[in-house]
Amino acid sequence: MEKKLFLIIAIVASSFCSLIFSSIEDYFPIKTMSSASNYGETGLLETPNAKFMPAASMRFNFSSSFPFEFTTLTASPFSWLEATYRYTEIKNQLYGPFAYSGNQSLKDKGFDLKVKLLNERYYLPAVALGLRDIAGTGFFSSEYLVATKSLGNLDISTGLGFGVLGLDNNIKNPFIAISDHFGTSRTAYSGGGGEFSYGNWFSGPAALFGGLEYNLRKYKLKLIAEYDTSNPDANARIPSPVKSRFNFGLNYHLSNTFQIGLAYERGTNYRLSFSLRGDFFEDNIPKPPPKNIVSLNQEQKNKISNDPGIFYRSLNKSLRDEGVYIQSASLSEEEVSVAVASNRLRNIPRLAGRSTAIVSALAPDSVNTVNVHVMNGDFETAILNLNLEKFKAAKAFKGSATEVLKRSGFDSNSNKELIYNSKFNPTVNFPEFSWNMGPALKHQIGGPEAFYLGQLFWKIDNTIKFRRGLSLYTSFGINIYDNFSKFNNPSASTIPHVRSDIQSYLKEGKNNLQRMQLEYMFSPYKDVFVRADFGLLEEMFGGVGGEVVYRPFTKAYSLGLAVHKVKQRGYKQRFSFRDYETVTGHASLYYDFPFGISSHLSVGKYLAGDKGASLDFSRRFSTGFTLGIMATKTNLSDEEFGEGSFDKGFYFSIPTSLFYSDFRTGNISFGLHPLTKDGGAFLIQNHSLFGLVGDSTRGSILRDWEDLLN
Amino acid sequence: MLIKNTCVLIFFLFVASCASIGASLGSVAPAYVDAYKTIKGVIVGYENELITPDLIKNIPFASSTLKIGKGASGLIILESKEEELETWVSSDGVYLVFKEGRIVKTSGFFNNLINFKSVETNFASLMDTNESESLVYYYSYDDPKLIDMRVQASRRFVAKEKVQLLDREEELNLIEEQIVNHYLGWEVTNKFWIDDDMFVWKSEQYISPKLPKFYIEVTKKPAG
Repeated sequence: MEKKLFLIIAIVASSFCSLIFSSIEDYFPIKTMSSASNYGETGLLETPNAKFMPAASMRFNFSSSFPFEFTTLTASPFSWLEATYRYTEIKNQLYGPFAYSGNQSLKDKGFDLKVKLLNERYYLPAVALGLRDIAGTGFFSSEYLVATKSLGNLDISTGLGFGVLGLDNNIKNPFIAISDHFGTSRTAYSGGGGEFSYGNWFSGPAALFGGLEYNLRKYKLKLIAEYDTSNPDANARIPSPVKSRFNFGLNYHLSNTFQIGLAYERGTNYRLSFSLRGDFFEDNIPKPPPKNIVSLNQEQKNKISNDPGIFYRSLNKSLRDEGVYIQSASLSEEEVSVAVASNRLRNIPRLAGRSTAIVSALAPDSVNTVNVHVMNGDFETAILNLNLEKFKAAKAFKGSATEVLKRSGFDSNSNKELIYNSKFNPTVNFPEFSWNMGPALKHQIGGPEAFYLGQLFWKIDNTIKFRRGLSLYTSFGINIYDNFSKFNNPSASTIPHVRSDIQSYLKEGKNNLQRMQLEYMFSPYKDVFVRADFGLLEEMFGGVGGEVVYRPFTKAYSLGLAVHKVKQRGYKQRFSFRDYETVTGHASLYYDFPFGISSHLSVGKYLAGDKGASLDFSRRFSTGFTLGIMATKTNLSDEEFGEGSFDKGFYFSIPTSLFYSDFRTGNISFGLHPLTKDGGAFLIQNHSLFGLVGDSTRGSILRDWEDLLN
Repeated sequence: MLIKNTCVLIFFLFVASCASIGASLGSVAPAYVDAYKTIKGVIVGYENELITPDLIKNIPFASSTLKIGKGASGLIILESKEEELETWVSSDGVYLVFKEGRIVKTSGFFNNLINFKSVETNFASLMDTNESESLVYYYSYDDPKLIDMRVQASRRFVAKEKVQLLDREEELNLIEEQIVNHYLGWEVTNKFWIDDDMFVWKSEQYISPKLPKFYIEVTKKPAG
């Protein structure tokens, strides 16, 4: 009966939809965004659809009902891929025995993937394949194929579900035709979770699900109806009463990025939800154009020819007005070379373009080339040789950035920096002292003792720079408030406790010396960068070591080697050490693929003495927004590693300038490893050499070249 | 749990980091100040430029302040005037053309008003009566292209009220104008504060469903 009703709804609703192609459709005050399913991926309520967020989007979704409350983060590194990390509270089950975790309800972590197989065509629907809860405890483990067709404002979806989505068992599993394996029952998941259960995928009972979503854009509303095949009443692990297989919901958009939702599910329960979505593909906030610099007149330029000091001082002041700091400069008859650094302009062509515009306004007419030496920290990372005639023409709209490119050259001369071979160097008095301070947080989330155990503390960072490249970094933490006394989960790891004693470090090191590190950085050869460090390197380890990176300027690859001899610090994190010591180090290969995809492979010995490899893939968009995943597998057995079998995680980084009407170089970064484990643990290095010099290759400059004139 | 989980994730999102080595002296936790400013800017709005009567006095052009949505307030100056059309320009290259205090054309935004049509733009007819006046306006935009979007307008004189301008308080006439496009569900109210000579000293205007409200206040009146 209910299935017939589903069909009737679909037919009636489709007859109401109209195809409107007028451009006024683009002018609805709020652009209704794709809805998130309860589980986080783009979808209806319990069921997914074949819609996706645009590439470079992130969505935070919260959805609460009984017994499940989902908190999810979904990212789309491509327009055809969505990845979701989910944190679930299961309200009708306890985390563990009362003596251990009190009344805390059960928590579950999960990870989903959804891939678009076909784009929607005029007659054909979009088709997607998805996997839910692929590396978790399997509470919500499902696989599905789903198709969605838009007819005007109506989206019609239907799909084939397996696992939890297939519990309705209303159709024979079609994959049985390929192999009898798909007809067998799904095996139970291991208690710890964190492993991929490939054998279960697309096997067991199957069900057809479907739903409708109607977009009432004028009212900023989306109406949703679905036929839910997850059959919570038949779920052996977490049964819930069901009066109806139909779920109904509506989503209201408060803005282009924020929506709230209300749903009525299973004929018994209400669900409240909200979604916050960010689209970081484009920088939608206009930024200030280059400052207008009035060119000097001939008389002034003649004076400069006689007294270059006037030129250097004018250049220093004008660059500073653009947020660019001159490190050194040399004026000759036909060339100006200038070394610049900026904590405002991260994009190298933009930094070079704005610097060149200022140089061209101040330099004598005989100058025809500007060499911009770009610096990050104390490293000179790139040199751009710009033809001034072409640059001026492009600035006057009589040419283009591409024409400037054809007459420009790039190079790197990292071991022969301009600052040591220039006619003008601003005075710097060493030792130079700088400091930052402010509130900061430490936390452990989702543990058995309590959902959130954290500390608010006052963080004081200071740096003493003794000379170029040689600095002492010190960082203190002073406790303001914490609830670490609830910690009750000592490590049971059978390998050296290099990370899993985190509770002891947090509990005993509330007032701590987080870091006291003497660091020296230099470039002995072209494109070779070296960093040596000594001291209390991070909160859990101190020692001595270094890092070398070879970054050939014109190539897509870089090589790195880092080695440290370290000793484990005492839990109080002052000057004492524990007995454990080791040598840790990795050889690294960095490679940039097309489409902004970067990879990083590290092979070596980790802190606990285990040996293995780590692989990291990320995608960087033109705005600087980056999404990445990483995994580490070492020679530890699954039992030695513990829950999860191997280390894995994800991260993202959003440039803060995307929220501002001016340029700036900071990032809002977030990385998550679902579990803190001793296996596959790296020494934390505060200044990664590749982080300083990696994004300044010829490829990076060409990627952003259009920003030369902006 | 809702509030707790949300707070935790938002805290995560705003833990800032930086890939370049900064050289700032004496700054107070720039990363956290950055995060705070980001949140504040997005929710509350951005800090205005400091615009003082002295600054206005020293600029030898007619000037106004312009604030768009939650953006910072900035200065625009009169670039040219041809009959009833005044072209104003901002330091970041945004152009606005006004006709009798109303924005009728823009450039420099991601979505620009390229034409505004109405049989009447002057407010004089409203001043002698308390009754509202119904009109039809047509708005045209460039990106995405849209020609003559029909909007119904209803406007009326509300009351005289004291308005604080940059350096003085003035009693001005408040005109309210409700504009509606039923298909889009775009229903907004524009406000104009005018003196007895029909000069618009201050206004709050919507010019496109895709753009936030524009706040304009004349700080130095154009000559003539």
